[in-house]
Formats: sequence, C-alpha cells, structure tokens
Amino acid sequence: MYPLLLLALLLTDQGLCANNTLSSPEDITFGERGNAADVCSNILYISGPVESSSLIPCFADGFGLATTSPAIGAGIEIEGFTCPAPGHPGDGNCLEWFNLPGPDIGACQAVYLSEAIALRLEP
Amino acid sequence: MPVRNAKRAVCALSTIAALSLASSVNPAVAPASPPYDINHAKLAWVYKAGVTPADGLNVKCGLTTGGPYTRITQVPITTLSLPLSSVVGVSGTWYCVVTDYVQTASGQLEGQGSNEISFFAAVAPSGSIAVSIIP
Repeated sequence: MYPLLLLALLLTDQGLCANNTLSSPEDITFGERGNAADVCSNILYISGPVESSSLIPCFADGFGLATTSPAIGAGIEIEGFTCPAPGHPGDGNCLEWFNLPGPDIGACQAVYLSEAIALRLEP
Repeated sequence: MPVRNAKRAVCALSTIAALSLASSVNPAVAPASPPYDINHAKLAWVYKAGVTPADGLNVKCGLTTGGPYTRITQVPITTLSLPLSSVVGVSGTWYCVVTDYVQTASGQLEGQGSNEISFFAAVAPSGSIAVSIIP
C-alpha cells in the first residue's frame, strides 16, 4: 500500500505542486504545525517507478530515491543495522548501502548505476 | 603466378574470421557495413557513472536480439573496450550489451545497460590441418 500512496503523491504532484506552490497547504502538509514539511518539497525525496530488485529495500516495491535527493548519502551508520562499510558487508547480515559518505536517510537506499553506456563497434 | 596465389591462400587462413559489422540502436535497421577483421575490431563504449559507484562492467552477448545474453566477461569500469576476438564464439549474428553492476551480499545488482549492437561473425574452424608432400 505504501508504494501506491507514493505513486498517488507523484501523480497528484503534477497539479498540486506546479511552480512548487501549494493551493491548500493545510491539506497536504505533515509534521508539527509550525515545523511542517510540505508534500511539494518532500516529494523530491522519492522517485518511481524504478527497476525493481529484491536485494535493496524499497527497490523491491519499485521505488527509490530521486537521483537529486539530499537524502542520498546523508545518513549515518547504525551499529548492528547498517553495514560497517559501503557495498561489501562482512557477514551479509546488515543493511547494505552504496553512496558515500554514508547510508541514505530513511528506508530507501538509492542505487543508481550508469546514467548512460553508449556501446559501439570500432573497426 | 602459383606463388602469388599461394600467398593469398595463406593470408586468408591467417585471418580467423571475416566480419560484417553493423552498429545500431535499432538492430532491425542495421545498415550495411564493410567487413572488418575480428582480430582488430573491438567493442568500445562510453560510460557515464550514476549516483552509485559501480564495481565493474559486464559485457554480455547472445545470438538473439533483445537477449537473453550470456555474460562474456567482467571488466573494471576503467576498461572502455574489448577485442571482438574475445567475444565471438561461433558463427552467426551476435548481439551485445554492456551493463554496470554493484556486488551485493546476495549477488549482482545490474544497471539498465547500454544500447544493443549487432554484428555478423563468420568464424573459421579452429582445427589444424597437416599438409605433407608425398614423393
């Protein structure tokens, strides 16, 4: 259900967040009043759909972080939860992460490999 | 004249395979191209990394457009070409792609990959022929 909710937010973003302004902020903000984060700014943190993978949290649901998200690499290592080093965990029993300088914030770990590979033949 | 013909024969044998190469994003519209020497032609690519540093690249080829492809080899992301002689196994029209990957605890996680290129390869048999003169 959670991915469906995110998708719904993405779709509605077309109309609600035009020019990044809100028509009815009271209805689409969350968090503490006075310290609320609006949907239009936080929607930049998610991206979808992406190529699914059962290996990475959130990717199994087809969602991930937007490539420009400030959440990428901004988290901290949590002992016993996130792996002690990026990419190659020692025992495999930890949450892998990939983007230096640290894990991403939240449950989704961004995994964006190539932006482009242009293949050609040379004589 | 017989000597000249013999030279030609030697040259033909020394070339492992003659290739008709076609590079195209859409292999269905592969343009005609001159034959290339498999010993000199190579796959080459331009790699633009994404957010996640890749651990390496997979060079994958097959005999069917769109896949499935067989992984031919893995190379570091600093490698930007591969000789065709190390790709082609049998005669036929080959289709190749290059993907990047990160190695995870559960296996490889691959990126979307490159465009597909195709080429026709005619590979000569690799058996040896012994010629002797019977007096």
